[in-house]
Amino acid sequence: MDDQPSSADAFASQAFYFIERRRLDDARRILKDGLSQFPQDPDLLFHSAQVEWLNDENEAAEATARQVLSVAPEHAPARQLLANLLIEREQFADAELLLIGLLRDYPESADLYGRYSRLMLRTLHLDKAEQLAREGLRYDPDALECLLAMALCETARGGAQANQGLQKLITGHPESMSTVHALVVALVDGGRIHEAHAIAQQAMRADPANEHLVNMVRELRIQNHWSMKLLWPLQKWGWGGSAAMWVAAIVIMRALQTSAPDAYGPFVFGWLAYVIYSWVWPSLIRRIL
Amino acid sequence: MSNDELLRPTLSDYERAPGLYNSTGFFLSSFFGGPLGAAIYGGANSHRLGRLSKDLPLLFGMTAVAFMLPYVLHEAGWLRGLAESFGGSETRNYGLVMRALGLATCGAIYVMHRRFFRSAKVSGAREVSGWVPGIAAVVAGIAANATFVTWLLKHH
Repeated sequence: MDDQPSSADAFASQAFYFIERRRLDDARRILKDGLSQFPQDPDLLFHSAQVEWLNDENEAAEATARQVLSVAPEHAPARQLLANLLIEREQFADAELLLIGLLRDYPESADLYGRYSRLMLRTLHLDKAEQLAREGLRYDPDALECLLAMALCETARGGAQANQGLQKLITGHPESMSTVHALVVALVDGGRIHEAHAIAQQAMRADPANEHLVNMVRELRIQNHWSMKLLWPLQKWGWGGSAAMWVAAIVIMRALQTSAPDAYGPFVFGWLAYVIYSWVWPSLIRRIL
Repeated sequence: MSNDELLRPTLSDYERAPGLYNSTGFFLSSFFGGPLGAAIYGGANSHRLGRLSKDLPLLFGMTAVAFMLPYVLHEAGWLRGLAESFGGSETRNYGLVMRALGLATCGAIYVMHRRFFRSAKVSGAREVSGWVPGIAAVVAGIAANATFVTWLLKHH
């Protein structure tokens, strides 16, 4: 890969080769050389935006993606990248317009339906998210983005029925990071932190450079730590669990006050200690671990 | 929904992106502010979800039921019996009942907004800081509870 490319396309494909392998410094070097010769080439600019995005330089990536679109307004990958960047910046309405524009240009792209579905889920439009994922699956029943969106929608719906979306995702794409993501979300949702932690850990061993996975494992490790075990009712049932515990504690305290005054004091101190521990310890352990 | 409807922008209708206020704030506002506190905080969530006009009758109904219930139980003499079985100050015990009803109202509002809470949890959507609706809910709720309990014990 050391030969000097002679065309913009050659520079672009060499840069893509490095980007795929996460050799971002090499990609950046090639792109710098390429852009010095072809400063307005949309693909070279797009790959630059990609490198900036992968390097968490989101502002620069957005500026470069917009530069691509000023040169080639129909550049689909740049429009998709810009939509992703806008979602990260929580400019959801602008991202939606971009995705709708893309879907009008590529009406049978299941991947785009999946992305739009996930945007709708993120902005709490569960019904529309589900319909979009279903529409995408009509064009490609095996589309990863749509299956992921469907699995997440079904997890959000909850209930007693089996999560068919998740089952299809696991069957069709057992190796995909999206499957890991959906599975971990579903397990955490069901209060099965230990299993979620084990799966995420295994996935991280396969892809240790994946920052999303590293953060996921770190969070699950904290939630699965032995010192957090006493908080399981809160982990499993959230504020519903907390409300039930408060009501139970108040009733017990009142009952002890009249029927067993000797036990009242220790119970109140024990309860207060638990309340303080449940408020302080989760944030403290995040700093320690 | 037809494909055209599916591809009609949804988010342009919102001034701010739809979101939910911090759920810890919801719990605490309901606990300290009782049914009215829960309704105010829930109403703030409805506003952020762009469905306040739709939810308002239900929120009003839930709050009315939560205040009617202790009134009816008090009139029947059951609430006083329950408060006496707890011992201690009667006003305080009535206050605790209002807190429990606040949590029950919070639960009912959660059920009404369940799919939004669940979508936020699954998609990892960021919660909005709830200080402003929380303080408003607690202040108004405590005032409403105190006034209601005093009125109930003095006039009935």
